[in-house]
Amino acid sequence: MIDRILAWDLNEWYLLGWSAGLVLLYWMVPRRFGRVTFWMIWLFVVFLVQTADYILGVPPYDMYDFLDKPKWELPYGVAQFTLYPMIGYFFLYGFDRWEPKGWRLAGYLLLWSSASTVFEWSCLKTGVLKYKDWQLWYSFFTYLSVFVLEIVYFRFVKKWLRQEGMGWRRPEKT
Amino acid sequence: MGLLFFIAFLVPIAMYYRRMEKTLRPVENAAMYLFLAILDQNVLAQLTIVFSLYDMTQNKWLIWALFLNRVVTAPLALLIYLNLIVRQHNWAARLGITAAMLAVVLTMEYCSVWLGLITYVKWSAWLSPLQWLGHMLLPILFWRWFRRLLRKEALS
Repeated sequence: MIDRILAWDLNEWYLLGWSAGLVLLYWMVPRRFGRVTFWMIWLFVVFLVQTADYILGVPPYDMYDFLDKPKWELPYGVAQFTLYPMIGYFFLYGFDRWEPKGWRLAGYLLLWSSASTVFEWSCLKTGVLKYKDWQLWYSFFTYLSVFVLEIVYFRFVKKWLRQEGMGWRRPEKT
Repeated sequence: MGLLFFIAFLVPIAMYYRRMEKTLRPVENAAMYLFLAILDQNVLAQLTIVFSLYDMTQNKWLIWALFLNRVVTAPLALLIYLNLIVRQHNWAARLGITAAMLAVVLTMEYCSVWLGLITYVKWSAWLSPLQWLGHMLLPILFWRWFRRLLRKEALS
C-alpha cells in the first residue's frame, strides 16, 4: 500500500490536492445548508458522477480513462466522493445565496459550466484524464446539463423538507 | 432482447412502488434510492474493475440493460423492501419479506448471467445471496442514521 502511494506522481496529487482543497474550503466557509440538505446534495452528485463514469468510462463505450491505468485507482475513488460533491455543493451554495433568475441564471450556469470545463482541461494537461472518444466540448454541455439537473433536484429537496416542516438552510442557533 | 427483458422486469416493480403505501417519507425515499443505487454501482465496479470477479458485457445495447437493472430496477426493488420492512414489528413477517425480496433480486442477477450481461469469472453463484443480503441490511443501517439526522434537524 505504502509502495503504491510513493509511486503516485503529479496526476494523483493534483486530483487529491483539489479534493483536499475543496473539503478545506467547505470547512472554512459559513455553513448555509442543514445537514440533511448537505447529504441530499452529496448523494445526488455522487450518483450522477458514478453513473456517468461507469457507463462512459468503461468498455464497451470506454470514452476516457482516469489516471495511469485503465483500472479503478484510489485517488479517483477519493475524488468521486469528495471533489465532485463539493463542486455540486458550492454551485448550489451560490445559487441559494444569490438566487439568480432569467439572464443572471443563464450567466451563472454558463460561468460554472465554463469553470468546470477549464478544470477538466487542466486535468487533461496534468494527465489526470485521458480522452479516447471524448471531446472537451462534450464536457461543457454535460456540465451544463448536470447543473440544470442539480437546480431541479434542489427544488425537490426544498419541497420535501418543507413537507416535513423543516427548512433546507442550517437551523439558527437559539 | 436483454434490454426488453429488463424493461419488462422494471414495469411491474415501478408500478408496485408507485401504488404502494409508503412508510418512508419522500425525502427518505429519495435519499434511500440514491444510496441504494450508489451502493449497487460501487459493488459492481469493485467486483468487475478492481477484483475481476465478474466480467461486464461488451455489447453497447446490453450495457444499458445492465444499467437499467443495477441503477434503476434493483434499487427500486430494494426501496420497496425498505418501505415494507420498516413497518413490520413481527420477525416472521420480516423474514418472509426478506426471503421474497432476496428471491426477486437473485432472479434478476441470475437472469443477467443467463442473458450475458455479466459473466462470473472467479465468482460463485452461492456468493450472490450473501452479497444481496448485505445490500438489504446495509441500507437499513443507513436509513436509521438518516432518520435520526432528520429528527434531530426537525427538532432544532
